Amino acid sequence: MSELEIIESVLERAGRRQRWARALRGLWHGLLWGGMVSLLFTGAYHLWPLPLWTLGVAALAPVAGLLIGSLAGGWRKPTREEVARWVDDRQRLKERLSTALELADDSAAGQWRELILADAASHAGQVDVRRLLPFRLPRSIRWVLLVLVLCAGLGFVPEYRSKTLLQKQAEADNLKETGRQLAELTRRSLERRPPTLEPTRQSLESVAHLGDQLANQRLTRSEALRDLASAAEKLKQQLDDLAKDPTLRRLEQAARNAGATDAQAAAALQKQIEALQKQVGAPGATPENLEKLKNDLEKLQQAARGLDPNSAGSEAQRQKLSDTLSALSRQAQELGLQVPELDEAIAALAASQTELFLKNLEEAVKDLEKMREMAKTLQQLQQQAEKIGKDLAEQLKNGQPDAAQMTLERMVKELNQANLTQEQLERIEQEVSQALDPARNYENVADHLKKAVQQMKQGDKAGASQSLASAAKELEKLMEQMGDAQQMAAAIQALEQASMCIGSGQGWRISRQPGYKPGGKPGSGVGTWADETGEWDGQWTGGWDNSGITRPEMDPRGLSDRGPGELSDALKPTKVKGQFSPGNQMPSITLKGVSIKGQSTVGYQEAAAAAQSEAESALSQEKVPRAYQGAVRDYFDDLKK
Amino acid sequence: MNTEQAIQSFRDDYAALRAEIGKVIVGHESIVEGTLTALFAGGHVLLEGVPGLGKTLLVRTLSEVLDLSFNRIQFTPDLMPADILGTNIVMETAGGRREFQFQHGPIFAHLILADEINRATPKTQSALLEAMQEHQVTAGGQLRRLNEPFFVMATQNPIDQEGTYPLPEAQLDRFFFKILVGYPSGDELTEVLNRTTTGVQAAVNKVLQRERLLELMRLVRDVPVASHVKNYAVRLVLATHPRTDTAAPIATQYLRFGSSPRGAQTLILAAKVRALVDGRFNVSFDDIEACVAPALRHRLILNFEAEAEGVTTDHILGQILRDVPRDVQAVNV
Repeated sequence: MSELEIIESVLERAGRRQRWARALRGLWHGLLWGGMVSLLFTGAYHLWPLPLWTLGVAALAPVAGLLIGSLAGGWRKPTREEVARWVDDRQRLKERLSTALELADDSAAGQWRELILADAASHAGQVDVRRLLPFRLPRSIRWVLLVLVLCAGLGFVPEYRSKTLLQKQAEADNLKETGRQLAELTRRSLERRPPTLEPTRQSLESVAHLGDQLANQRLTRSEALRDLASAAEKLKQQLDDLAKDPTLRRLEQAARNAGATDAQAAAALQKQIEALQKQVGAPGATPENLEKLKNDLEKLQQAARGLDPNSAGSEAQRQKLSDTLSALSRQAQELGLQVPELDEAIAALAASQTELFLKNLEEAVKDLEKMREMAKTLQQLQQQAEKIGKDLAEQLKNGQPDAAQMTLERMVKELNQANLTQEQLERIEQEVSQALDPARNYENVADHLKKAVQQMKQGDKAGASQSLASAAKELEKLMEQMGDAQQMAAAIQALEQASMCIGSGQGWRISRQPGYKPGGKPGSGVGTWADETGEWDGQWTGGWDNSGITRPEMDPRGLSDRGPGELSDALKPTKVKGQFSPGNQMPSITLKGVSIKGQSTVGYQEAAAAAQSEAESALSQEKVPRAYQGAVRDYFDDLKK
Repeated sequence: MNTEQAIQSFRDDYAALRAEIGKVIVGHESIVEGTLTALFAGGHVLLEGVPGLGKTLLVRTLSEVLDLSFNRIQFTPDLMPADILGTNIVMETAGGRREFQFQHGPIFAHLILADEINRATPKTQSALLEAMQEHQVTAGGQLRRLNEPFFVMATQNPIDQEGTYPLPEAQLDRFFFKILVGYPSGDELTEVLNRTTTGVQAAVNKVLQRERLLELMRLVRDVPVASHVKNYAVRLVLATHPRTDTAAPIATQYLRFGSSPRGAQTLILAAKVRALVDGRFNVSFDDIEACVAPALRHRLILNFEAEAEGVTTDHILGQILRDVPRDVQAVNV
């Protein structure tokens, strides 16, 4: 290795180490600066109402400073000349290396060049780069630590915020949250059931858009309330226009009165009944019989526990138990029940295996209990199924247009069958003829049915099939229109709910409105305990499902005096003016309520109206099981009275 | 003799000179070193100090250890230029004819001691200007070369200013070094007493021939200087120029005029001598810094403010050394 190469090698190593050292120093300096920026931002955030991204900057600043500092420090590669001068300075080499490098290419220097190179190489050989530039923590580390500790400590200090500001923030958050919920609720509704009518779709989209505006824009509370009221008014106008259609009114009323079990639900119900019947098995196994059998068995179980095998009369007692058990087993067999544990218990008793006997008895009691539960559920489901109209006439009369539609489609299929007998045709004709009267409430459905009857009388099966299909289509159209109206009503409810949330300063969650949370799950409120999809998942665990319960006090209580679109005087909207913040002009909020004599207060009215609006919203979105819908409606109707 | 041997020889000769002078001169290491540095660089020296500190003795000793011709000129107010340079006088030839002949003045020697130079009038002082810069004199309308090497070692007394004439700037600038001679320490003074108050007289030998001295002077000029070291000398000189972009703040505040280019030349040459004396083949920043004070102190002209505040050129140069970084491109970690 030549003298120049020795020098260059040392300089190369020194340069590399110098670069790393600079990167390391830059890292700490960057961390210090980043920490200071972080401290500044955190402090500012604690003192002034800065946006939340300030904290993000405060969190990222040390990391960014660290990276930038190390990159900036180690980015530039120093030249050999710079390193030579630095090593000269640090090692007090009296500029030997730098002069040698400069003269290395100067051939005119002659012997001086050789002398200088040799001298520099001998000194370069003594340079220990590691000792020359040891990696150690800089002094600034103390400041870095101090700044970081201060930053962390500041994190535990509560922010200073004035009351006015907190109130404003709460209002803004409330606005945002309400807007988000409104938009999401409306969009969900649009997704689940796209409206048939274009104006309905546009109106609902405008509600969703309004929700977005509330969520994204910085509207004041009064502006938001004004916009919401305006949108609600517009929707109400549209809904009133729709409500003028008498068919829809009739449909809605009929649906409300009958508890409206649709065809799909009926099919599902039938499926459940069949599944349960299969499990229960015996037709005579009523809940009462099973209950009695279980009670007898429990008594027997208690008697068996008191049996003393060493006593003198134990044999007689055992015999008595055996007889009773045999009687119970026969009784179960008569009911058509399969309880193998009873036979096993008899065998165990005969073999004087008391423990096994008790165990079998216990299992038999458990089995009977399960069967009783299932029988009870079956009974409830059967009661529920009885409510569904048996034929077209009943279905139309009970306001079950979807069931009626399915019946019509069934008839169409039958009519289209080539092997349709005269008897079947007459049966269909008769069923359709009976439905003519209740069909008058369904616009053109009656006309189509009438036409179908005539065609069937004339033996025109194809024509009758066509007419029945038209009637089914007409029903479908009506149902869709009714669905649109329900959606609009729900949207109005949502808008009113939003108005109330913003006006009262309460959040959507506090208002117990069944909103949607991220992930699609319903929020707290009325709807949370409802089945989200309304579909049976095919597994019956028993004990928790109460959808089939029918109790006298929960039955619908007849027609309400409030017809659709026409409110009694007591139910006319009342304007309740509230002063939410002193000094500001607040918009009025229209709430449905009744003037209650006595100690009634606005607060109560608001609470009642809020609860009603929640319930109606839940009802319109089918979050409440059908069995409860009537009860919920009646409860609020009673409240108004 | 190759360069390495020449350098070693330089060091030997320097050491020998130093040792011989040390036989007579007690202490004053820096003064002796400065004088020898100027000698090897081919420059003139102005020694300033109160009487009795050994200025004249130093120069006289130097003349004794060097195998050079030596003349001493005692500057007095009535000294005339012709008294220094020489003059044409009428001489009678062997044939009885009378003709003008040039009578060489004391300047015609290798080593001149201009004792108490500030006592002569500026007119007389100026007689040295041409001789010091160009190593020649013009007398009687004729140019006469001086013998090489030619050194002027001048002394002056900073006190007792009555009847003195401060050296003009042009004259001062021609001095390579201005060396301030200070008081000896206690030990040195004791040694001075031991040597001068007994019957023993120190004898010195001539250790350096004229030709050898000329060789060594040539060798000094060959010493290479790295560009950044040269740049440092330039920046130091530029920093003395008041009211310029490169001026140090203190220069602008206290100086009327800064150093001439001769100052930079002096710095480099003196640093080269110092490097050789130190056994190195290259000039370092330390060499430059060590020469700044003697090389530049007499080239800076103080302004009224500095005079009033008692600020000296040495103080200004010290501040400039602190202000001007050695290496502007040095990489720091």
